[in-house]
Amino acid sequence: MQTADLKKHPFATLFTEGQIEKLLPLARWVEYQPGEALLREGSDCDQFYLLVEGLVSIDLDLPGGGSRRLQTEGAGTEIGWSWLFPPYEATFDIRAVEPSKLIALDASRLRDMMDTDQDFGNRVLKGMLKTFVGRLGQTRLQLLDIHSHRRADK
Amino acid sequence: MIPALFEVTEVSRDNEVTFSLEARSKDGVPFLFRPGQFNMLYAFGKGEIPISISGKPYTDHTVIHTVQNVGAVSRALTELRPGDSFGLRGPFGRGWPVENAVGGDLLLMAGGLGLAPLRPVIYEVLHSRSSFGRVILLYGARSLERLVFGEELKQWQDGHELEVFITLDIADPNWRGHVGVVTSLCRTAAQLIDVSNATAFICGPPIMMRFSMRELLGLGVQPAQCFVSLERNMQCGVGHCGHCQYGPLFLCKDGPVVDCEGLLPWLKVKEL
Repeated sequence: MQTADLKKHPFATLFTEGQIEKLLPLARWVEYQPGEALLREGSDCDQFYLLVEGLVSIDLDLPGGGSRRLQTEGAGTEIGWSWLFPPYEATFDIRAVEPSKLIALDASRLRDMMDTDQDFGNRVLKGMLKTFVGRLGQTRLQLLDIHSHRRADK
Repeated sequence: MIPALFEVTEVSRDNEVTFSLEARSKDGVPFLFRPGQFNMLYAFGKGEIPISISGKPYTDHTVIHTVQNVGAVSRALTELRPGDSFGLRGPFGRGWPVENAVGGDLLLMAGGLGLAPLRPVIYEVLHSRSSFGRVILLYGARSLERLVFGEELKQWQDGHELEVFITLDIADPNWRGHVGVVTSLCRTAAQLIDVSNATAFICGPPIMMRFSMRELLGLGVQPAQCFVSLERNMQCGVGHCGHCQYGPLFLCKDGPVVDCEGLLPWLKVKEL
């Protein structure tokens, strides 16, 4: 993993050059094929993923079998936030829909970095909050069923 | 102001409630229009409604309208069959400023039936493809069953002249594409083009357009280079009756396509 690799993802724009250098040892490339799970509901969330190429889905298992695809996320997005809060367990399944290339950051060491470097921690939280707000907004629009709000003619 | 008589030549079903009607003038007069313009279609004995033109802008013999069955007039129009007639006034309004995108990247964003008024833009772009940079279509629909122009979407995807991203609000387990609202695709598109120099055209349900505009402007699209097609109560088509007034604009003649720079102050006015 090189600095330039990390900079391929918009998440890196949050940080100073020095902070990116400190992030490098925490990062490694991972790849997933369609159908493979990055995270399963209830599993330990010990990685924070930055999606560089491909498409992943956020799925929810349904009672009695099967699953429901809630959302997908494409390149340039951050995947997973359960690594931030105890008990650090995934709340949904995350699966690759297309061949996907991601940067996996060691979540435990990332949390340690956030605790010791408060400026860094603040930047991570601001970035994650922006992601949360974006996802919440999209979920609200999904619930609103915007396509059913059409004006009827006479 | 007097409707011309048009005869339906072909009807195709786009989804369970949406049909495309191809028609030609009964008096043989060529029909020319700009992408994004609309016509007032008159279903005899039912009434008249505004419908965007969804066909190719450079064929002068036929005109295509894509109609969703959402009321008495649109139902009557969707029940027309080849050989049936209807009245047509138009074309009306300002269309998409396709010339603004020449030499640069173009981002098209459509929700549901909003792809219909953008389809003529796609035809025009494909007609002179080398005049444009990267062209990206972001299309969101409620479900797979509600997609319109499914076969063409596949052709455009396979043709590699456009980069097409489709997302569904609700997806079947077999769907292998994006799931979520169309605004969720904006960040992906912003990684592919220089948004600060791109031209963006948005068309869809009003809420979708409002949020899409906000998202694109937040990513760096210039307000003067971002255009939306507004849906109002068009009646006369020439700015006389005032039914389609939106702030200082009469959308039937000053729109339906307007730039976001002029629109932004009016979006903050409640109940407008």
